[in-house]
Amino acid sequence: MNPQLPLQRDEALAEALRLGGAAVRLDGVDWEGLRQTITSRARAERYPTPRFLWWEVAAQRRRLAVAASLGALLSAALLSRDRPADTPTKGTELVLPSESVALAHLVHVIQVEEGFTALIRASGGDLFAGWREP
Amino acid sequence: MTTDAEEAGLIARMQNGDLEAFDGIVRRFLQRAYLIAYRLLGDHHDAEDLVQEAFMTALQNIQRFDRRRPFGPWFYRILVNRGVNQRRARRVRQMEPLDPGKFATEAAGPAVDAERASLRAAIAEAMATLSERERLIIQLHEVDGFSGEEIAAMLEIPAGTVRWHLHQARRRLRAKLAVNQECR
Repeated sequence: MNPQLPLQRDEALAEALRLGGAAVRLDGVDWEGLRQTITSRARAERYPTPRFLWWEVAAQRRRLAVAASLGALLSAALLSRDRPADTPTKGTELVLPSESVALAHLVHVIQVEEGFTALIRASGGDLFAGWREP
Repeated sequence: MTTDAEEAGLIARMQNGDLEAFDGIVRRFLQRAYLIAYRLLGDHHDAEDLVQEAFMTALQNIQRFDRRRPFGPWFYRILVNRGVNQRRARRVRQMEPLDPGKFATEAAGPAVDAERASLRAAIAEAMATLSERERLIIQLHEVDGFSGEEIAAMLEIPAGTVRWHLHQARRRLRAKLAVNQECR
């Protein structure tokens, strides 16, 4: 590279910088040694394992319960609709566990998972503590 | 921004505590991390220490990393933040001063060596006129091959600001080198 060359083009300037000593000399670096030092430290130091927050696990399980209960509600409603005319109406016929009613209510009121998780966290783990059947 | 599947797989395994996957990540990012560290601290030993610390910090915080995103920018941010803090804390050496004697050249004959020495001196003088940030950005971009977006992510500044610093740095370097040429 001749320093007299025009440096107006960006490429020419970059080339001048590289040839002018701005490039880092990496040939003396012991890459393998450095890599081994890092991985050895990782093995020696306490390595954080995945954390599962209890309310996240609880929320996951409750969501499954909600889905199952809603499925049961829907099935019961469909069965009731398909009954012969002389059988009692579905409103008086259906006997649903209070938890299903509670869950259906929660889904209706809370709607989103974030709210659901927050509710579980706030309730101290017992989602149905204080729940009264309407 | 997307990331390649192999990298995402390594990260997922790291998040499950697999240290072999961590080793794979180290292999991928070691050299570029070292370059950045050296640019920040201007010393090979300090650069090695910084790279080690950055990888350990990344490992300690890997559960917080969103593996749908590319690992590089996140990791380089850790590295740069630590490097900047380290530099401030130690109130150390300036950026590598581009001491002409420090850069060995391949044997190329006395005339070529003299010419290169002259160029190195001119470049070192011109680089000294830049701000620290301009110098870091132009070195990372023009010499080390980092893209403007990568630099923006690692320095946590907008890409437009990187472009502006590049523009300013080039302008100053050209002006300074032109003066040097006229003086010869």
